[in-house]
Amino acid sequence: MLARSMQEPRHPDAVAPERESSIESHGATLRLHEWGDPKAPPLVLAHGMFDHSRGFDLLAPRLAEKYRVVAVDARGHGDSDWCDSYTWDMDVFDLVNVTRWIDEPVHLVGHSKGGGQVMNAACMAPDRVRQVVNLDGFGPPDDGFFQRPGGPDLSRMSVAERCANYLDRRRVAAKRNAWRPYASLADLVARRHQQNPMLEEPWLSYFVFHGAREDKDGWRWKSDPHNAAGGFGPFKPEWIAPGWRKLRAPLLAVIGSEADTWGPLPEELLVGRLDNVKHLERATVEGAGHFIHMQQPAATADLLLGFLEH
Amino acid sequence: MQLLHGRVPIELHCLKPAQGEALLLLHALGSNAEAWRRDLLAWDRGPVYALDFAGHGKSGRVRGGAYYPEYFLADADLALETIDAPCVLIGAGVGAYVALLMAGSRPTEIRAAALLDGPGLAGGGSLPEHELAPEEFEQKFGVGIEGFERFIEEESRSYGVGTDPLVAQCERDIRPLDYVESFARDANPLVFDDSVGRASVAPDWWRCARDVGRAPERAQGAPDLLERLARLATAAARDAT
Repeated sequence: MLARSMQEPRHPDAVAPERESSIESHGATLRLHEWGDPKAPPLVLAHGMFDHSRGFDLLAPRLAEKYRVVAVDARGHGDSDWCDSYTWDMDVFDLVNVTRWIDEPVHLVGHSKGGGQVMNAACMAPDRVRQVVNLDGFGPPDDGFFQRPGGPDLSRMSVAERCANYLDRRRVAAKRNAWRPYASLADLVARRHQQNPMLEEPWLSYFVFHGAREDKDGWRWKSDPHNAAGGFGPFKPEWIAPGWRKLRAPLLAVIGSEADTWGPLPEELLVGRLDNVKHLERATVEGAGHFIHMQQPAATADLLLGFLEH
Repeated sequence: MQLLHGRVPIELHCLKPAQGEALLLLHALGSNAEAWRRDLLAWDRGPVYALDFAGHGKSGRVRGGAYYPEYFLADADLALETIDAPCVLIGAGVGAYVALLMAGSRPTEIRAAALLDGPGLAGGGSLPEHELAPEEFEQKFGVGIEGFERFIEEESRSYGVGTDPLVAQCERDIRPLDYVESFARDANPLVFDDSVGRASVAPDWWRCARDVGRAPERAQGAPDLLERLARLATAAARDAT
């Protein structure tokens, strides 16, 4: 890798991880970042789609006062391996494998996609999980996230026609193995700001810097462009919540108070889904949209430390 | 010839070069392009191709092991793009399921498809986990990640040399009937292997596709199969013009 043409952006509250390690999980090497006393009770952090574990640099140091915090780069994200195909199940198996590597019961905390996945991991490995926190990862609305801006109206298509649409996109994606380079980090930051207008400076530059890499052509995301092609299958959003009936660990379900690009779900739908959880607490963090732990890290940390202690 | 599915090399074998309507063979789980009966080469309307799905035969493995039938479908769709001619499909086992998905999503190019028995035909059934009793799920797929790993190890024992064991996930995937129905309705007529349902129980998706598909046929043996496919392809080509 070339020497970076710019210094790491500074953020007054961000704390880089103290340790890093790698584990193998079903053919992929996953990068783990750690904060806190290695002998403290373990707490695992799972990030969302197109994010990476350094997005926890504001929350993790606060939790590290009481916990050994282990943040996982999901396969195809951050410094973990790019894979050739991605499924929800494989991500969940990866999280269960992290708990096996830690080898004592853990607290699981996930944001967005990671929030849904920590719930599934807790269902799959009940003896390895003590408590679960889900930060606004309660799945897409029942009509899904299928509609792409500028794309054909998928709601009028049969499943088979939607599949053809997916295959058309896949033919293009199959020939594209790299993100297009951006001239500068500032351009990447601007792009991410467009997608998530509630993320602001100086955090956004810090977050994007650690999620990107510079090569001879410019700046590119570290995440695998094949993530963007997505998959296709028979999965239905209404399958999500019934799966939570198996959850034995207590759950803290957190949303932000502000409407944002990817959440929260309409309250009625969210309540209906959470009805399937046996041991439930709910919380709303004021002044946060979807990226709760980035927008209000102190309040989020206080909330978690309170929940996890009892 | 080698196709590239992202970073994975996919091998498309040309078994018989010719011009015209191609026959594309999609193998069963744990098998590969070399396992096909040679009497299928009697196809006389065009070339005969056989695909190695990812993780099988001469194709590359999927790094990270996330296999599912729609991934194989995308392998097959790249083959269709390369062949660049109308096709008929013969699929066995998981290849039969992929052939159904492909016939439904590419009805203009896929003029007929035959669905044969073989490993991976059933998948994980038609119901998602929450609709199964916990004991039923555990008996089928095992408990926890250790159960998953044991499932993969046991199922993959019978696969051909060099097959990625993780393709055994295609014996666990859910094939809901409303999903299958959509492909069966949009597809040209399908030919079903007459032996399925006699020796073993026909999977729900299979019976569903036969019930809702347009004018399904049953075939016995290779010559009968090729004859029916040729007739259906002629009719589909006529309808298309």
